[in-house]
Amino acid sequence: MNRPHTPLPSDLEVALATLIGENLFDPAEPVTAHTDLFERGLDSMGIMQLAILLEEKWGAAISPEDFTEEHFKTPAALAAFMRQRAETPQ
Amino acid sequence: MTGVRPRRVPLGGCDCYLLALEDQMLRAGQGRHVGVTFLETGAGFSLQHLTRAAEQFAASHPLLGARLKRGLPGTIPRWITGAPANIEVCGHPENTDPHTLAESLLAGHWNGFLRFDFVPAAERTIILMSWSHLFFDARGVEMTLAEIAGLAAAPNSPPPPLRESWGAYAPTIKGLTHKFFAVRPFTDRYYELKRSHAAVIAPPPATLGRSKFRLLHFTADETAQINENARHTTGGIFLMPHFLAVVMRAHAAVFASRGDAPRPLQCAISAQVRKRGAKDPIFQNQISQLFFTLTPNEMKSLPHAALALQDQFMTMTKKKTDIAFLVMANWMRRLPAFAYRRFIRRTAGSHTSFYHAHTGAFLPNTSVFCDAPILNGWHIPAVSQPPGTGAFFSEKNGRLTMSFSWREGSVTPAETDLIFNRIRTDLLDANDAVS
Repeated sequence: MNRPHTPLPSDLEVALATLIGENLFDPAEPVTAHTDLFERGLDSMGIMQLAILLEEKWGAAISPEDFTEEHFKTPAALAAFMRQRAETPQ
Repeated sequence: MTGVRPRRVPLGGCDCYLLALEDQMLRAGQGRHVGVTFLETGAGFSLQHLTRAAEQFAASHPLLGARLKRGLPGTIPRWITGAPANIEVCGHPENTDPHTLAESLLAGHWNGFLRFDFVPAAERTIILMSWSHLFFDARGVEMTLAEIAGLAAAPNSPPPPLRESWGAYAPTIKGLTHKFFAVRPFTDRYYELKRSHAAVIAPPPATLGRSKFRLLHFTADETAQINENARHTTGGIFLMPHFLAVVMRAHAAVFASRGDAPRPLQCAISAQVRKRGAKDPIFQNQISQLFFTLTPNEMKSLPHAALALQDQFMTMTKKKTDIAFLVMANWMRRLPAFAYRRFIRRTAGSHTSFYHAHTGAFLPNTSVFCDAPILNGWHIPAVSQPPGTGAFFSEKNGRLTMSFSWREGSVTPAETDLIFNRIRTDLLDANDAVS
């Protein structure tokens, strides 16, 4: 993943949970920072849509090698991964 | 239901595509476009609870009793709701072969849009739910089964209220210029694939035959190994490109066995439009399409093929090709039937080398159906010819099943064996799969 163009918010976990909940899942069951996205039915199409959302919102383009279960398991895990990349010098 | 005002429900973009495909199948003597879903259950199945739940389901969903009204050329076809449907529930003797029964149901010679058949036994009952693709996609079929399972589990509860569980999603794009640009990713891809002259197993005018199918079941250990191989091959978490690559390579092996010159293969993959976990809408085809292709060179190695498909997946998602297809399909709803059939004739044999879907976990939150534990389940859609074949995957209780569906005469028994052997080998030995 490249470094995001837009500064990440301090509550990135919450922002991601909201973004994912609103765009990918049924709003009747809200997504929290620790929701297991794969248990909730995140599939190939959903992961791809999520990657596009991250790129559109923060300019964070995901590289093919970064599409791992570990990074996408929960909004909190994804936030940790994005923060780590934001702090990595390029 | 007496006194309930009829509702006029417009068909969605994908519904109209499937209506034109069914028209084409009927004209070619291939029957309706239907599917049969198998439920293999343990002891305890209650016919009484199924009959009552099916009646309640029909009464609460007026669309099931609807009739199709095509209207004048240039208008959108509609469903007109009426009296509640009569969902037939039919028992068969214990010695009935479920496979033969399913093949007769796939011919589509039954009334209505939904019916149940069952073959009872003391320890293991097979339940077959037959459905029309004009009304349901695979997710809708599973939502129907889940709702009927819920009704059967509460036999003393009051009848459920009327529900309007329909309404195909369509992106709101106003203005001709905006629409034109919105459909460009679809039309660009469409013409790109059309130029590649992909191969199909049974192009017209091949022998028209009955709908046939064969199943490939995997154990829990094999399924775990297959999913691990898929993760490894695509370098991460995408299962779809891996399974599609496996099916493409199996079809390529058939062409090679026929001595045909290597040609590209193509396949349209359905993308669900419903949000994940949504309980509505049940009816109508809530899907879009993405179009994939592989060259003969890309198909030589499974990891290479899967990565090529993953790249196409990423590019099409970025370009919003799935949204473009929905906009286009909605636009095309007004095409007169003969023009739509012409589009189908042109695309079915040149745009789709075979059908394929992996619908993921089968009925994921339902473990009991009409008092009996669900042991396994899978879908078998009838396929049109051309292209003549389809491979469909799903997983229940950690076990993968593939249903391979074809038109009699489009593949020989030896070619079916070849497809099965290649798929099994590729799935289980993915990392060594080079040919």
